[in-house]
Amino acid sequence: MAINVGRSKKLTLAERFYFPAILTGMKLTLRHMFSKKITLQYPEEERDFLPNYRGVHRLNKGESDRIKCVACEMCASACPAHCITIKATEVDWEDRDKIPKIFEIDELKCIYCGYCVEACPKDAISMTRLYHMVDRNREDMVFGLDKLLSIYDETKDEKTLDGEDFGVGDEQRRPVDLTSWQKPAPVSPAIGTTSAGGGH
Amino acid sequence: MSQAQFIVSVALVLVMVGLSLMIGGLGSFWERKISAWIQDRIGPNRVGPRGLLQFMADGVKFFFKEDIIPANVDKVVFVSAPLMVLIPAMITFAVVPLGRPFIWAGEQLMFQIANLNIGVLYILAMASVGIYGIVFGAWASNNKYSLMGGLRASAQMISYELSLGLSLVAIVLVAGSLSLSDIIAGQTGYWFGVLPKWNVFCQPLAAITFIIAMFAETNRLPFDLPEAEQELVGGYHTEYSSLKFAIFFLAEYINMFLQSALAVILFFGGWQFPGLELLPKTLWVSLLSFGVFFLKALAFMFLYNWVRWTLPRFKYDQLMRIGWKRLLPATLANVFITAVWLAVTA
Repeated sequence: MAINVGRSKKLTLAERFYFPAILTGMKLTLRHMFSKKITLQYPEEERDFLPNYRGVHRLNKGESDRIKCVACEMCASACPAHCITIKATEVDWEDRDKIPKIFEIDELKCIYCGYCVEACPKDAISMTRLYHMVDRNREDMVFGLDKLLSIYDETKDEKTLDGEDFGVGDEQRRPVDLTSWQKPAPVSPAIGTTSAGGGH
Repeated sequence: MSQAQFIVSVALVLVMVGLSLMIGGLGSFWERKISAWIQDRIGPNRVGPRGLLQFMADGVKFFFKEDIIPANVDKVVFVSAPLMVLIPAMITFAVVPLGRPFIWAGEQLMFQIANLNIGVLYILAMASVGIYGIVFGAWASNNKYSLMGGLRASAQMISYELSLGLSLVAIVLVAGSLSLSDIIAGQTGYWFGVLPKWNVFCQPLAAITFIIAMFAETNRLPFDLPEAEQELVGGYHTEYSSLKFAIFFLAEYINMFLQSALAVILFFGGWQFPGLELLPKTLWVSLLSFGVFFLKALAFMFLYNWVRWTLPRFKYDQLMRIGWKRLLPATLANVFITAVWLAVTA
């Protein structure tokens, strides 16, 4: 479908020199020269991430400082990068039969999608806002159980990306209201009335 | 030339050689800083205090880069082409009056390297010789993109040199002499006691055409198709690496500074500033006038950068059309009007 822009205004002789346009442009660039700069001077300044930022994982602890994870392996199944390794072990607590003996996340393979956080039924895994992950070899970047729990101890008071951010329990995430995007139904001249409601 | 004048000239030669190299270094640094500020970011600020030693880091980088000479190039021409661009740019400074003449032990000494009475002609000649280096570099590179860039560059520079020269002709008519010191001397005094008699006020059309032509002469935006980073990779300096590229780079900045200096001398009174005639003719005042001249030239370097980030690049046909069908008739008309005016009022 052609859109008529309608450039009927011809340039005057003065405008065809482009001097006024050039001077307007130069005024704009000069104004930018003296305006506030948006550069972030890393490492002296760091970006403040939103609470939902997907950084390094951590394993949460519940009451009486016990790990929340029940080694159900839903996070390992949900992970697209297959970076979670879990080995369960039996335990005799009142609310569960298993806890993980080995829980390893290969932070280099991880794609930081957050599917594991969404999949966990116990809110046992979260993603913090830490992103400085540097090490000297690949083996040290496979975070084990103690490392993930120690990250929890460090970030206990911070808001992290939890399972709640994906919807609580069986409740789905609130759907987007699409009705406001629907075009109104066309008026039908033959019948003489508007059709009722949103057509399609 | 007297002995004292010879000593002054030699000292100024050393100063200008050093200054040219500093202009290359600091010019590139300030270009990056000012470009960054215009783009709402901070430029280099890590090397040295506030990033001021960045050009030294760049220089060291150029030294240590691998110097590649492609296999099928014409070796002699390839290696000497950057020098053929650098040397004309640097020796043009010989006729540029840098400061006010001063009196030393009873005789008047010129604060310039050589007071040629055909200064303007010399400058135009050297500017033309500088084009050879670009064409040689492009041709010797054995690379079709470099060749395209080099040919475009030479065509562009030749076209705009006509307008450049004709703007100069108008100034020469007004001043009555080809010598740059005489042109500056013709700009002393004030109109109505307050407006300095700079040529930009009595020859505004020549000033505008000169400034447009000077952008085209130095291959700077909006006329930088020869370098057109997005289109021709690097244009005529694609195949150059390390020091040879550094010399092309340096030559571009020296050319920019030279053209800025010319614009200042021809149109903005050179080393003069209001109040200079009240000061005595000593060496210190000459150095002060040199400082003022330098600042004025730096203002034009800032203008180069400012315009660079304001305007988009011209297409090649637009560029040639402007050079031949717009600028050249305008400068010719300016010369005609000036000549008629001078003949009528003389």
